Amino acid sequence: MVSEGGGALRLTFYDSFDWRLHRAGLSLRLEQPSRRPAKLCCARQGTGEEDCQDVAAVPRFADDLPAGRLRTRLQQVGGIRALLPLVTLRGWRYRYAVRNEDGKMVARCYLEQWRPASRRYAGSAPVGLVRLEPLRGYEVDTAAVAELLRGEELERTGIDLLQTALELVGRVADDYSSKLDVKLQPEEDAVVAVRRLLRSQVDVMRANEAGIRHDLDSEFLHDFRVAVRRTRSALSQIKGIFAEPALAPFRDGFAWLGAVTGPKRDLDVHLLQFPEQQRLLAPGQSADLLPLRLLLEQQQAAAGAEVVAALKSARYRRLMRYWQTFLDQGGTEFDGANARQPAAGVANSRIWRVYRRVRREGRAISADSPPADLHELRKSCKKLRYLMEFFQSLYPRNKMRRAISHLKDLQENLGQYQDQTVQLANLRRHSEELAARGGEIPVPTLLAIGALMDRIAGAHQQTRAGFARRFAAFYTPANHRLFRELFHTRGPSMADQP
Amino acid sequence: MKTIAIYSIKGGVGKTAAAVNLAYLCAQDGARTLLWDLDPQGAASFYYRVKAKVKGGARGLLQRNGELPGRIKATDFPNLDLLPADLSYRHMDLLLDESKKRKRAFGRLLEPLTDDYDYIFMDCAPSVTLVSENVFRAADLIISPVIPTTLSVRTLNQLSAFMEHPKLRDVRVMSFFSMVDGRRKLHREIMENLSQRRKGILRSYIPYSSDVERMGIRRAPLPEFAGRSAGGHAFRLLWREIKARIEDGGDGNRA
Repeated sequence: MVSEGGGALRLTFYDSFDWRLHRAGLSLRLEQPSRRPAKLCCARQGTGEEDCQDVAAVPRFADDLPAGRLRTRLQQVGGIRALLPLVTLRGWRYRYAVRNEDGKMVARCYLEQWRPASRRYAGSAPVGLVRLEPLRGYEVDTAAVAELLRGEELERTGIDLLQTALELVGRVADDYSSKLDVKLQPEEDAVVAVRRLLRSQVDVMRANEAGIRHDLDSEFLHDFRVAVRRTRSALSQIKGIFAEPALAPFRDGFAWLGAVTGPKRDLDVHLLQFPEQQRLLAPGQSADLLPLRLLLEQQQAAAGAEVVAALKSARYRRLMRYWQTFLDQGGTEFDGANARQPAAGVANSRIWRVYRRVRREGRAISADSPPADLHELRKSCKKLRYLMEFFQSLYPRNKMRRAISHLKDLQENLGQYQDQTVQLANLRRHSEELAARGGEIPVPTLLAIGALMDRIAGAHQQTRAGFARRFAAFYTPANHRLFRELFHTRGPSMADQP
Repeated sequence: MKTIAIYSIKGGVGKTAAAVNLAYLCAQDGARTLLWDLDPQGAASFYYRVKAKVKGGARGLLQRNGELPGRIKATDFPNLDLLPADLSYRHMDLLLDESKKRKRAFGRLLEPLTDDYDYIFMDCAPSVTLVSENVFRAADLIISPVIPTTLSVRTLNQLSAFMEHPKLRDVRVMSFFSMVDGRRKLHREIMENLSQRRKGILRSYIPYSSDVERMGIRRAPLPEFAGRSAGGHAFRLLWREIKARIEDGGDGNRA
């Protein structure tokens, strides 16, 4: 072993709120030695491979890093999510090269000691580590070294530093996902199952509140809104579970929450799409859109303030408190007619019913149907999707995944069509708003918006033309058999009552 | 990914020293780099202290499901990996001759590495064989060291003639003078003469130096242990010029 130096160091680990890097097998850390410049390193977990770059500070988004491999990799994985600090450690690290008889390095060995940097953990004991990192092609040699260290009772070999850091502050990786993951039992009472499902959505909303308030990135609000929509969808779709009069205030409350957060989300989406829209224009023209961007950003800030105000309002606090109480209490006083039916029966009948509606509505759409018909179909598809996701744990995994993927393809087309419809309407409105401001808006800007609208309108037509093919792929005998097998139970069911 | 072959028809012209040092400098610039030691003598592997042995040998590599990634070794230097040589590479020609796509086998092997590396250097054994044809097909750029003597210049002409093949017209060729002895009149004359006549000759050259010979004792690339030496400096200038030419795209770099 040959020493390669070392010393005091601060380490901060980063990931997106939904652990995108961790899920991709990456870990991102900022290393701040006491006297040398800081560097940001992205490591492939379990290997010695990493990309490092000197940085002054870690920007919120990977887009704002200097161009290079590190940025490309983080952009690919992290996408539009902010890089947030997970945990900071302070301590020291010494590095050694482990060499074979030819003097070739076969592994790196780190001798290190860490403790959380935050004062909150001031009393905690530091953790000492001996960590081995294999070099590519020398895994066998590294294993042999690890065996030697084990003999010396230096047990902490092959340890993932991120894992250790998280343990030090009592965090668990991958502790957030916006995906529905509630295990239901087919025979449990429908009301119990639905309460659990809805409770999980309360957790999603709560988890995203802070990110929305601090405006960390657009996806906090997005996940929040998905949870609100799922909740509303459940309230309207899963009928007869709760007594109707008890639900009315919650329906109103979540409808309000959906409405008050809508404008901010629309503007987020528009601004996220902005670079792509700029690329639709001739290179010379894309800069002409900047006044539009400014307008959008102003409106986004105002809409964001309204969302924050809503989350701080007494109305929101009351809604969430009452809703949580409503879901957590186990009594029967708010039971609807189907509350005590088995969950599987309720799921089957609701999904089957909405599935048939999707088929019916889709079949009725011809080349001349108005956009409103497609919008209705899109909403039905969404309801179906939510229901299927709610109850997915009751069905065989593979078949369910297949059924959802067919639906997903159809939804993609409908979603794109709707997005383009909204984009066109927004651009029309924005150009009017800009025009209403009088002479300060340059003509090239209005021309660029016009050109952009032309491009989007063309794509919009193409999406519409693609609908028939997408629907045909959904409306196949094979897919119908799959849905029938999964969701269609013979004989009358109590849960089938509206 | 750019694939660079260090090649010369003639042996003993400083090919391996160039491959070892240029790959090292390339990696030092932050580019993910792989050096493929194709010379059965395994000198490049030796310089990097990697055993000249490859799982399954040449046959294992060239059989239908043979692949490179599992045979790659990390060097001691960041961003630089090595695919070691193997004594069985001396039969590579025969094996290539038996294989189906005999002139494109290397291209197929390198394909899965496209996203893993920015640069791949191939250190080729001298002579014109099926192996070298494979190398030419797989390479974007051939760099040929030339000692400023009459015989070496003659082999450069042979290479140029070979590269006239229609399938090889897109491959760029650059040459640089190697093992230059500035005290010798003949060296000076040939260098001056050739640089005027030919386009693809690089301005940077590598002087004859004992530093380069010390690489065998130190078993490390020259800039690593003697960065300030004349040789180390020359290689750095050479790499800078090559890189600039690559980034330029450029035309007519034919030697």
